[in-house]
Amino acid sequence: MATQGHTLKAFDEDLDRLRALISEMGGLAEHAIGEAMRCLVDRDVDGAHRVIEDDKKLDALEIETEKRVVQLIALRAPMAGDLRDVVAALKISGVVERIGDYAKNISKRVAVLEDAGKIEPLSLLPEMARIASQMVHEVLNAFVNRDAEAALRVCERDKAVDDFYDSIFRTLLTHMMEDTHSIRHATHLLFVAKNLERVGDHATNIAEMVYYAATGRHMGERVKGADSVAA
Amino acid sequence: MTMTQEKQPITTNSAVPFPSTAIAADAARDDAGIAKEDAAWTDRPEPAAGPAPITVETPSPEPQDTAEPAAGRTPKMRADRVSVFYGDKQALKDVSIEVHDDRVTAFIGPSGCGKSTFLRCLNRMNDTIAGARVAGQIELDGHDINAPDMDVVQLRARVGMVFQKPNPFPKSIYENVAYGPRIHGLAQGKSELDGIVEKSLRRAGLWDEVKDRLQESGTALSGGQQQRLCIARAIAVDPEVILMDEPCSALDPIATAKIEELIHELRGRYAIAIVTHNMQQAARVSQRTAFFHLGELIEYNRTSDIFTNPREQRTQDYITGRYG
Amino acid sequence: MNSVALTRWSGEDAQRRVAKRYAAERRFKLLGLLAVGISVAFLVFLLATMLVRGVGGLSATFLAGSDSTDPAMAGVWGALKGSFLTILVTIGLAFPVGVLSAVYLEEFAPRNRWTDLIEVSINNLAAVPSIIFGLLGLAVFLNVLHLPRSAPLVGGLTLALMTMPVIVIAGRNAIKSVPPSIRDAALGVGASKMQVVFHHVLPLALPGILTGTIIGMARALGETAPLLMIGMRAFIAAPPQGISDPATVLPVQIFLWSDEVSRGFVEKTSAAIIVLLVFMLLMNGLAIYLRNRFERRW
Repeated sequence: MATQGHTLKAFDEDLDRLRALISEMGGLAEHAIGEAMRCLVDRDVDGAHRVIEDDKKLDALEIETEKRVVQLIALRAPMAGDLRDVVAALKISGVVERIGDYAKNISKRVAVLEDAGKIEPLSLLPEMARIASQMVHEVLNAFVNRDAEAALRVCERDKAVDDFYDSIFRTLLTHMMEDTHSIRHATHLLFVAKNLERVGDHATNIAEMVYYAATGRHMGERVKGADSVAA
Repeated sequence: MTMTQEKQPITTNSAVPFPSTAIAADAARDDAGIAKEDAAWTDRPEPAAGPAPITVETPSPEPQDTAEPAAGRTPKMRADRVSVFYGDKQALKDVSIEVHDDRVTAFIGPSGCGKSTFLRCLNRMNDTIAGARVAGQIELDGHDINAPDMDVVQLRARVGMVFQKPNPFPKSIYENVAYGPRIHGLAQGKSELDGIVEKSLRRAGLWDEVKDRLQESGTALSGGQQQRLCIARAIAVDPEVILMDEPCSALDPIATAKIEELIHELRGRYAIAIVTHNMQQAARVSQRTAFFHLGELIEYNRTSDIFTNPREQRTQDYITGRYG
Repeated sequence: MNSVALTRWSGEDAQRRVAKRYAAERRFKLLGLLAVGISVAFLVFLLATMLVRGVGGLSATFLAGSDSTDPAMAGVWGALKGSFLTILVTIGLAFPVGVLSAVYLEEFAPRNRWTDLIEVSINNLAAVPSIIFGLLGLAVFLNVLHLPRSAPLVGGLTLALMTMPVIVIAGRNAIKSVPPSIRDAALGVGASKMQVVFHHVLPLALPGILTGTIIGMARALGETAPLLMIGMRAFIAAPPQGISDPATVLPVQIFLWSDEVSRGFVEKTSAAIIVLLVFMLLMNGLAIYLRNRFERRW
């Protein structure tokens, strides 16, 4: 959008640093989701512990972002597009931190599922996680590039994540009805799926923020991939 | 008040001679308690700025506030394709704008963009500049201010002005405020004049600071007090519009805040147009903002829109500090 | 770069430069003092010689009497009164006309070739030698209008012509120096052009205008040449009763007496000069007092 940099170069540097922070948070969150899923599939309890440990970095970065945003507003008095950017950065950092929490939550379940036998939906979950974390990746790219179009595309992908969730939900339900011994594990997996579905939703939320920051308009009534709680 | 009634009284408005218009309107607005209502976010429809015949006082309920402020309201002042030339140089190109009652309209833009020039057109202060020529139409209550039957002295009483540098007369505080009412014969006798002086100083938020030294020189006050004295002087003649040309550029932040608070309080009583270099100030005090650039009006919109989501790239660049 | 600059501020070189600058300033102050000294010295010399020679001539008869062929009987009262009446006419005419011209030219006149021409003419007029004004007075007031010869009226009119340009120029400068913000302020509350000028501009310009007037009047008071041309050098034995009576003025009286052969008039000349100086001092004092009073108003 911006045709040229600010007359005050330090302002540009501050904004760039803020974007870099958000990118870094996004990278960490993506990595956390990927790692959590890998640990889940590989039954890697130690790896899961590392993911849980690493979440602290994300928390610290969120605090750092908040500090920087407050400073930037106080010192640079951003206006219009800049202001929308800065506010979006503040909100996005909170959401990305939540995404990190979901990864942590998934990791916590690794230990519980360590002794679980082969459960079929487990093969669907990594693919779902891949799409969800890709959404996070793309939406944060859209933020850094102030690309409203890319943000719109991310929203469209949320439907796929929701479909995955529906499908996994049904499969697990069937599973539990067939084999009551698996209920404990299946429930945990259900939560994992739910967490991933929430990651997708959050990516969509971020997309809305990015869209507003870039265009000044709200996305309007986007057709949401029916948040089905089937049954 | 219905929409049709609002549209129609353009002719009646100007038919009522000054100053009764102003006083009647003033009283009406007082009754409606408009000054109390803080409405930085909601722009209400105009509350009967017109003459007595309109008896219905209820402001129309629809909060519809379109981006085009013209809809269904008579603007206090309307400029239609106004151009100003200084000699061969065109300082202003086809500017069309409406200034509304009970709203603060801010003009922003870089130096030399024509915003002050435009402001000075509204009470024909450009007449005093040799070689200045104004083209286009400017109306006050639907009446052309450049028409031969419009008396420029009366116009300036109805459209008061506050200048960049506080410029009290080198006379007493009392005389500063009393001067306008006196030359326009607004007061019969000393006690009435005293009343006007007190009321004006009170409205300008200066009364408590100067009531014990009204006979002291106006130039002995501090800069901020001087500027409020100038505002008191302007409102003493009961104007309908107050033009302010960078009223705070020579003041410190506290004096600036006081002036801004004053502008806030005066809003609703007078139509106010303010030129400012300080964008934050425009954001703080105005409901409408017009952005000028190189003599052109680039964008005129609600202040909240201009500062969060300007439509024009040039506006965006200017207010975010990417200009030049 | 920085370190180089730093060392250069405290080096020997720099100290020499500073010392040179101080020396230049001292030299200039001395020069100025010398210039002032020279002018004061001349003034003191003039006053001293006049006092030494003239004090003896100051007496009641001298102050109360009029011109006479007998030095012992000659007095300065007639000339003093003549000067007074002449100046009264001059001020009464030159001040209002000069101020009004200044106001008109500065505030109302359009800027065009004609006003430019007028401006140049007025500036020129201020520099015209006074004898020319005398000839003008002779031609217009006496020969055309047939006003009484030797009268303070004609003298005053002639001197007014001479003083007016000075007042106009001083007045225009004073009006020009009134800040435009005051004009804007008055116009902004709806004052008319006239009200702006008479309520605000003129009162603020008055001290400046008065300064110009004082200078003009002092010059008129000491003027001799134009008055000779209109006949104010006649021998007048009785003080004038009005502005149309024949009269003479102090500087002319001094000029006449200095021409006399009789020894007794030498003392009278000096005494008359003392009276003239005192008269001028009083007038200037009054004018300065008036100016300060207007200035002190705020």
